Amino acid sequence: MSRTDGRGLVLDEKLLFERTDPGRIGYSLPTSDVPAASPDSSLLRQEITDFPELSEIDVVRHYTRLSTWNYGVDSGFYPLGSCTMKYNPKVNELAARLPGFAELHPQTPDHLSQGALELMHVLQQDLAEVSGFPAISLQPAAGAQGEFTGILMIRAWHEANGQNRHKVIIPDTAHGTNPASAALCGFEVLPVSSDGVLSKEAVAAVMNEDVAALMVTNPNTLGLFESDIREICELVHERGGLVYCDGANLNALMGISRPGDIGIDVMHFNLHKTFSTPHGGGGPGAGPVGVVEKLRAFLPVPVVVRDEEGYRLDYDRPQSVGRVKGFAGHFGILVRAYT
Amino acid sequence: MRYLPHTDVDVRQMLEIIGVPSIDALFSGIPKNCRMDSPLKLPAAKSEAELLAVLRGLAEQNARVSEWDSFLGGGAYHHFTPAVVDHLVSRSEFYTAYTPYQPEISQGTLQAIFEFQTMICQLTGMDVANASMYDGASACAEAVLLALRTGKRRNKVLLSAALHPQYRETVATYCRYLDAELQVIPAGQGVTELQVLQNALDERTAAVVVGYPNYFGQIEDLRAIAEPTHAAGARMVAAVAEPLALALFKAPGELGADVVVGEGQSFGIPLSFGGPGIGFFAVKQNDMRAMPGRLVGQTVDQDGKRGFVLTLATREQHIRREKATSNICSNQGMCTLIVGIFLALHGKQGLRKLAELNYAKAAYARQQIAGLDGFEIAYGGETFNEFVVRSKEPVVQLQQRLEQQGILAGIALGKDYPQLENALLICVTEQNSREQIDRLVTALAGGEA
Repeated sequence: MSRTDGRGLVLDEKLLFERTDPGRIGYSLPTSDVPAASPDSSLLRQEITDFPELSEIDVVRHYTRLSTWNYGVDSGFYPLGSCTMKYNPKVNELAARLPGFAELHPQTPDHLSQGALELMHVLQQDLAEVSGFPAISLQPAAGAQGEFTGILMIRAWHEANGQNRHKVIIPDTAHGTNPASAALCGFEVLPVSSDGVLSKEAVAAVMNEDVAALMVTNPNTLGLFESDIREICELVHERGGLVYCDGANLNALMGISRPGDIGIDVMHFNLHKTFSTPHGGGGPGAGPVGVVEKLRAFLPVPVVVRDEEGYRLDYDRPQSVGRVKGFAGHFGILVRAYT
Repeated sequence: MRYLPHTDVDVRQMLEIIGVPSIDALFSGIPKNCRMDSPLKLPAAKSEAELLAVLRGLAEQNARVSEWDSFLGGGAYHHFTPAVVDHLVSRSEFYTAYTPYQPEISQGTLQAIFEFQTMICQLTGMDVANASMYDGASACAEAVLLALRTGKRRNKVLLSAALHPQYRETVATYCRYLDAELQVIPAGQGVTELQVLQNALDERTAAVVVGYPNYFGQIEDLRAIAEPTHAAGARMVAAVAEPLALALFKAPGELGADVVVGEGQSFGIPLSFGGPGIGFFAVKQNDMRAMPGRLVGQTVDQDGKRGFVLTLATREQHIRREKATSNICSNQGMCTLIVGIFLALHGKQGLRKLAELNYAKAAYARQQIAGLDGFEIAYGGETFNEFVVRSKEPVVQLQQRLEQQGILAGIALGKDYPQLENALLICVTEQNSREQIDRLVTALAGGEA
């Protein structure tokens, strides 16, 4: 087979499968210290057809060369709109790799993972202070999942109050994932057009007893602060609805305005946008959700709580919407955000 | 100000260019009644040295799998990660890059994801895999949504009791407000009960979801499950929490699976208290357009050179917002890279050997424990690197006793399975030496290891 990779600095990197040389292996396994054993042959698979076979240096060169085809925050200026691209502090990466965090199994008993739980608890409190929401869940894996979680809680809250509202108002300035998240919760989407900034009148025209919530992005996708937001929230509340805010653009408000203070009921955070964790070429992110007091009981499980014995993961929450993913959240990302 | 590097001069110049008199004026669009009247009550910023001291203090309070004798599995596995993996993923051209919407500046990420998708297809025996989901549990929920979306007038989903409990809970959350009926099929003997399954299958059934290996570590007879499932016109979803097993056992795609989902953490991703991991999602050709999430495809540029792009974007939320197949947006880009490097390093032979090693270690432990008084292996049948042990001694007491000896003995199953009150799910990987296994066996028997 040919082993040319383009000449000099002109990269023409082949696929792993095209670089394969039968018999090569890039890692040496330990010798077994137990007797050999094998399952019943009827259950065994044949070799994995066309799977790569490369030496260590092949793999290192392959990915090093691929990396040079990328452009990231460390390569230069990245003036991207709705997905705040921040510098990713190097100390974050070091923190997430500390053995006490990286080598902690999620099924470890609470009393042997107090440091991790304390970190999560403090992060919950810090996010609460920044946003003005008293209750926080760190579980959602990304903004869109946080959004889905938030809308689930809104639906559960209405149901607990004996209401069957089935519509959600979404302005055209809202983030792209909003309608899909609402649809996943069985809501019908009521689009409302805005003139750059949403008006109270536009919301008043469609806000009735069928409407469970208004979903806004603030500042919106055009970068404008929704100046009537307080009045709009009051209107929605008067008519029995709740207000969801997409936190994608929270970066612009931190320390100036707190969504929880101005009438928003639920908001997700994007730790990879606002709190300097890497975008990673499309994730992993983390999408914690903050809610007002009356929605606390509906947060997904588990929630990190503190009592006289220390920190623990609380699963005993009968009104919870349930879990939205495995384990307690993207802990490795939470460590970076905390750092 | 370390992360806000602008000097007063920089700020003044920027304000001048955009014609705004002061920084405060930039915020004039925010009405008074929306402003905070006092500063945030956050602790003062710390220097890097101070910060790391705090973090090390927190990290040291946790039980690390490298310091303890850990036999914990249950959806997160302790495998060795070669140094090459972290070395390569630390290249900031990868981790500081954005989602690859602009292919001309993202070919590195896109090709790596394309290769990841291909390797997932090879491992699972399927035709098409997407660019990743959040984790195994949410991928499983999305598989159920796919079956509900595409199975006309079918709204029933049968979940094996031996499917990972967190996967079942996540499916329930995702289906909470959809027109869907979830039914759990018992697994009294450690595997999905075929007779009950057959009786439950009908013309309303959209999907049957089973673990492979299942939560008890057992290798389900997928072919036997696929047959009645397909006869009823439903899809079989195989959920793989420990994908290393696929290097040894037959691929689900070969055994009739219509959708294969799972968790890829085993392939080089740190345990990190349960996240981030990576969900994978693979289907047969006919379901390609119904798949959630992103997909990287191969194409040629204007000069005829090969290139890679995000494709089939009409399924995403940007275009037909209300009709999107899923709301998933950011996924697990960096984790696809980790998995790709891990798999490329091990390769065809290494991955098989690693799987054989896991099998042999677990088989040894299983055999040793089977010989102890007061313990029995709960189920017959084939397992990979996990198995269930019943104990005469209450499990909580047993776990505490072993903790005193530095052993994390396994997961107590009683919380999720009341009928398994004194049962323990024990996981043995290549990271557990024979000495560790022998210490576990001695300690279980009541001795000092």
